[in-house]
Amino acid sequence: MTSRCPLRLTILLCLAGAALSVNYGVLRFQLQSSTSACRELLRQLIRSPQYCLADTRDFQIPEEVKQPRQVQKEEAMVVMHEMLQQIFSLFCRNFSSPGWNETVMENLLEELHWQMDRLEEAMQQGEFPWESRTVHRLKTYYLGIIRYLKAKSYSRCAWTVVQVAILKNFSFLNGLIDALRD
Amino acid sequence: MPWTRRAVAMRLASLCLMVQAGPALGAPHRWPESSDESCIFSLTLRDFRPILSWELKNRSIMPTHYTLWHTDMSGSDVPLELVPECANTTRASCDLTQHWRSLTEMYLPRLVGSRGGATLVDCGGSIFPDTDMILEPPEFEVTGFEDHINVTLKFPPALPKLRPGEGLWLHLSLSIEEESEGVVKQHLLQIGEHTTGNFTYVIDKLAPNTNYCVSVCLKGNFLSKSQRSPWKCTRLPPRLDSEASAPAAVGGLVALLLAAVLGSALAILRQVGCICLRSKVPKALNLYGVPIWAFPERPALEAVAVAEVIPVHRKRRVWDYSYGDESDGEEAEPRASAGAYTTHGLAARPLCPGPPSSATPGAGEEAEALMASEGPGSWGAERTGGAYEGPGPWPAERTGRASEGPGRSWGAGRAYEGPGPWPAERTGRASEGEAGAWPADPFPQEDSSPTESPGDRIFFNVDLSSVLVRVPDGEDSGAPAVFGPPEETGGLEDSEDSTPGPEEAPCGECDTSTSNAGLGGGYMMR
Repeated sequence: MTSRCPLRLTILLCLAGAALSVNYGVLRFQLQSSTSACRELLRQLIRSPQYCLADTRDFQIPEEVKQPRQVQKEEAMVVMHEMLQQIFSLFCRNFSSPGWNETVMENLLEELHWQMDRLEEAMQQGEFPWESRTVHRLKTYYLGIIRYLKAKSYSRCAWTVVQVAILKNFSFLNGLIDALRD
Repeated sequence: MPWTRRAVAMRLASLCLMVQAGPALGAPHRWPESSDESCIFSLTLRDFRPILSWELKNRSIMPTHYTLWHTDMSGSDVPLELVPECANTTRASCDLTQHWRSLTEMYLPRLVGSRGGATLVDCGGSIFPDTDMILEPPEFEVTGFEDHINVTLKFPPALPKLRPGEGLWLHLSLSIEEESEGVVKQHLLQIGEHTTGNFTYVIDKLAPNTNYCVSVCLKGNFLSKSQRSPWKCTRLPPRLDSEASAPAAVGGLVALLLAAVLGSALAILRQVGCICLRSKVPKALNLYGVPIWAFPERPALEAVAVAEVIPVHRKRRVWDYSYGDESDGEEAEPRASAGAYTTHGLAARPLCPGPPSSATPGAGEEAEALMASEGPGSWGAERTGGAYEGPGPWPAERTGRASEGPGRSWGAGRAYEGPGPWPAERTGRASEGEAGAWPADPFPQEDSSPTESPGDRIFFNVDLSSVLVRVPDGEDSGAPAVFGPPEETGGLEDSEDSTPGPEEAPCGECDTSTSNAGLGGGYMMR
């Protein structure tokens, strides 16, 4: 009886560790599905961007986010979390709603929030580079977007330009999600 | 100079046209406000080439020529550019391989439709390839074999030459699905720069004589829009070689082996007797249907007479207690009355037939009569012949009735059991007995049967050459009748005439004790 207790405890710990360990395959699939949904929702919000050619702006997203190459899994998760959080924050400002579909907007925010929750759960164990250079540049990138909006007085074309930029962000997120491989 | 005036006129006309088509053909930095969204644009990746096609919402408007411009929202202040391949084209589509190279860019096409120089439509739109581009499946052919299918895919001979990292076909995979009996299997092929021309993909490990359907589609790394091809089906031919029946043959062999093992096990169990026990009675014990014979009357038990067997020497001389007499000693004159020896065993009277009460007077007299009959000559002659000269065959029942009848006893002797001649020794003795007197034939011919019943005679097989048969003494004889060897019965001739032989002694008076005393130790006295 006494000899079985350590064995059982060991087995229990192993099972708990296995249960708590991140299944990156499942996480990758979940994030890809959610990101694809966000792209579709955001695409619905963008209307007639051809008329905002005069307001187009290159916000200069970090190159390592645009084309991630040999990025570590932990850094990719940090970057994704930062992007999702910034996008969520950006759309929550809603300084002006130039005729956006509220249902679509709500669904978009829910998807963003869900992705952040999944990432935060997966990032409970382990060490992550929260203060990396990529994260800092991202913060600068999104600050520039906010300043642009302010400068354009959150006009319809300004928001359209921002939406187009965010739409590209989701495409970049897919690249980062692809880095989450076992 | 007439051609000079014409040239000037043509230049002016072209300028007007250019001015008139300025918004469409020029390089405006702004999007013309006249452009609307009366067109529906669609981007399709076909043979690794992005093809933009359009359709007018108002179908009543039927331009004959189209001209396409495009730009993007990269923020680089890209002007609206004319697509030369699609200027004043009559097709409703345009190949933008050399113009649209990024999946993550918002492209802005502008279409001007005209007829006869008149602009009928000026529309624009936006295309984001990563979300809007439709992946069209490649052309393919299906060829079925016994156990595999060859899927021949038709790709363009070469990929568009773009800068590295550019091209809408990047990060794509080809999905080949096979379906049979409701089961779908997917095969993924990664498409790269070397995926050009026609190549064949083999789907193996298939079941022969089965219908299979194949469909292909392109898939992007991201969940982009994919268009699946129609199913192409083929039925695999049946397997012709022996390998097709191998599973069936193996199954048959296994079944045969199992049957053989089971049969042998049952046979062993049956042989041991554990199963299939016989319930049939052996034929020897099967009495059903066997006719039951009513056994006849129980035969009478074989009469067994008590006979006293007295061994006797063949030659015996009677000593007359005369020491001086050199003579060999006359043999004691046998007294006929003492009885006579007989070596005949053909028939003899029982020595002691039984209790006196049961004895019949006639039996003893009969015995005497038999013994005192004819002389030895006749006796011997008859006996040397050795043949039973009875009226008929020797009755077999005589032997069985040796003990029959009370009062009949027979001395030791050998009963003649057959019609054959008497044994030779008997003949010799018979000849020896010529000198002497043979006792009377105890069974004279005339007395063999008519005077007595067959049941009165008792016969048994006794060697009379070594025994004496003692007949109980008669009432008047005074001497027991004795039957003995012929040489010892010399005096019988004299006695047979006057004195009754031993046969005359009634059997009923036979007394072993007295006879024994007379014999003096077992010998018969004459």
